[in-house]
Amino acid sequence: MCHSWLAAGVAVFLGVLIVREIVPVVRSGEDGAPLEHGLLGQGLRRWFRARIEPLVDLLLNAGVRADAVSAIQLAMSALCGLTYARGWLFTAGWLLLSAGTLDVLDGSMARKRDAAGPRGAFLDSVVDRYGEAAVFLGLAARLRGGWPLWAVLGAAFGAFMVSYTRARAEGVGVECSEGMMQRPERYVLIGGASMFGALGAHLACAPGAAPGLLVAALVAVAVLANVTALQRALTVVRRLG
Amino acid sequence: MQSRLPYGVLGVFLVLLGAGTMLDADWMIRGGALVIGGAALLVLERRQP
Repeated sequence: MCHSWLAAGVAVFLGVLIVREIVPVVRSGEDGAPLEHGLLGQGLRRWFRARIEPLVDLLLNAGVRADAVSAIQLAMSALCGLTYARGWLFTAGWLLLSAGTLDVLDGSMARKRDAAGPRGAFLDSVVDRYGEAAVFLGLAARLRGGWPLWAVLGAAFGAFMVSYTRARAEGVGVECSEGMMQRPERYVLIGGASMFGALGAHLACAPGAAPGLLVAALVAVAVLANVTALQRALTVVRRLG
Repeated sequence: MQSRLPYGVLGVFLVLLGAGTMLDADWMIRGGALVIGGAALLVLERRQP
């Protein structure tokens, strides 16, 4: 069923949010950092952390532990995968962005409580991988009928390789966190494309067109995440001489 | 320690989650309730000093 007026209202709401919140950050010129630090840039990352700061304080004051937030993140990622599998693209995209927010939130909570350590970092990494796997499985279930499945597989492989190269680099004593398509960029690209693709399909009353933008984003992630993983691999090889 | 309450973040979360369930699942009552709850939180955010 098509909800053109509702979609128009949501598009206006999102447009106001973007113009009021994100455009000033981008215009302030704080995003002059090179792309190796991620497509989103440092300015947007700082803005996002400042925005969720009150939530960090509220949860810490309520005695919530970072591990509990990680568990909720995992549940939300699983729900996101289920909604993708069901074809609820707007909801799935928003759940993906929300799960990404929780991913930043648990780290911020641990740091603020001075509880950041190897145990939390390890658990966070495991939760992140299972969360991403749930999302990609849902996407694969939805897009299994044609070539877009290859885009999902390519994006999933790239996403895991970006994390794997960093983990192995740290294992051999090299710090390597650069790359233009890191986890926040993947969340924003896939989640945003899901939401705007679904909105466009509702506005045009063309439900079949909803996955188009999502598939384009998955192709972009498949290419750029693998480029990022290879960049990291080359950097580590150079540093190790 | 706590300076502001996170009405804005929670409000945006609820509004878009509600809108999503209305758009995707045709859950007009449940989705509408989430949107109204989120909008109320956004109003509270505006009223915060």
